[in-house]
Amino acid sequence: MKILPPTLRESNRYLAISITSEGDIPRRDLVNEILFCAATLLGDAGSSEMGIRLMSFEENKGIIQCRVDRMWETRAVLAIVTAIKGMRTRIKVLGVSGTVRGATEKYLLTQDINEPEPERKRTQTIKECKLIIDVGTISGKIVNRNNNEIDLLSEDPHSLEILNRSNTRYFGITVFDIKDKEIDV
Amino acid sequence: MGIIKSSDFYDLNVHTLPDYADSQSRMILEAKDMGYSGICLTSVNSGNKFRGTDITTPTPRDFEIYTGIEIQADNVSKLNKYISRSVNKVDIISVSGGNDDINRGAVENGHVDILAHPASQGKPLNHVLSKAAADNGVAIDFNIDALIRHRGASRVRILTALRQNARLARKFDVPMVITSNARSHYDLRGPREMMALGMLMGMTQEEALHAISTVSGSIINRNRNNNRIMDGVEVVE
Repeated sequence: MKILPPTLRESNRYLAISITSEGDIPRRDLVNEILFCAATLLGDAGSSEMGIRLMSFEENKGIIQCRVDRMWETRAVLAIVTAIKGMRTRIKVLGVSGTVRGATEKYLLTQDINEPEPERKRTQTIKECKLIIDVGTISGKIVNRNNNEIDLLSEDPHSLEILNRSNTRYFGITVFDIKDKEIDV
Repeated sequence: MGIIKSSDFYDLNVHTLPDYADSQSRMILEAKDMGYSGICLTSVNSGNKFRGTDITTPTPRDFEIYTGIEIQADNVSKLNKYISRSVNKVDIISVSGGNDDINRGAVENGHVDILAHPASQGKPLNHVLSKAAADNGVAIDFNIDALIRHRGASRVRILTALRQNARLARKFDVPMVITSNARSHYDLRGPREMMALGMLMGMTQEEALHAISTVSGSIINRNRNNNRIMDGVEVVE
């Protein structure tokens, strides 16, 4: 069958996205969750008009296709995604472009221009840490580390109560909360 | 789109340790990364105790940190007591709404800045409360966590209530703000996503933009301005 000539095709936008999650997210689960969220939020008729497709997805970054006039709805659908297979997930839209190449070049290939970390002596590698807050302490194991951000797993009952309240698995802290310690996970 | 690009965005209701699971510095880093120009760290706890900020992060450039309290109360007299106790101690006073009496007590008190999640029990505000909110300059909150956290019938009920709030707010010229009410960094959303969700709650694109930029900014300016004594009274040189 002949393909549609370009003038008769629907015009699209491409959203570059990045994903933050408590665990690894396979492509298939991500697609299912986004389509499920679209169906619950806008219904079958609404989501058929949006033409959502996941074009590429690797290393927690990807490109999503949608119709030009449904961009805000698509953003809303992406914002509704909270958890995939029980793991808390957040989808962030890095930017929008009219072509796949534009989205890739502008938003996915650019490197973080963080200031380079100053040279310093690593004093100690720690796997556990303790945080003093004004209602007590939180101590636990360090699970993930990403630049300055640390996820902390704690199992004492008081901490579990806080975690339940906020519906997450780990405490989110930063290296700045821990004093005089170098962390290397 | 140019106007969106050049705006400053604020999220005026973000919860941190020890009330919820993320430390203040983590929230600040994540919010900065999302593209905000400022967030308000709001204490929310059963004792209505204000916990100051103890920020260990080197403060990021072009980023402002405000302090706030979200007051929870069972009845209006306690609510007023807690409000008068917090005046001048925090940048932003919000009241945890939902219940009809508390909603009313909050919009009738001029010290309150934001009535947070007024539709959390699925009940919309009526015209009396909307008018009172407009008179006292209390902003009505459209909390996106209602859409994020709930599913199914309860989400439908809250969304319906929020739509009515938006309709009345437009009619009576009540300030509208969109906040995340985030309990962890997974609840934070980018400014444009907040706008998209605001548009689902019945706002126009312009109203949604103002709800996270200029309206929030004016609330902060109003409270940070030391020359201001009360509504309409200001020290001029």
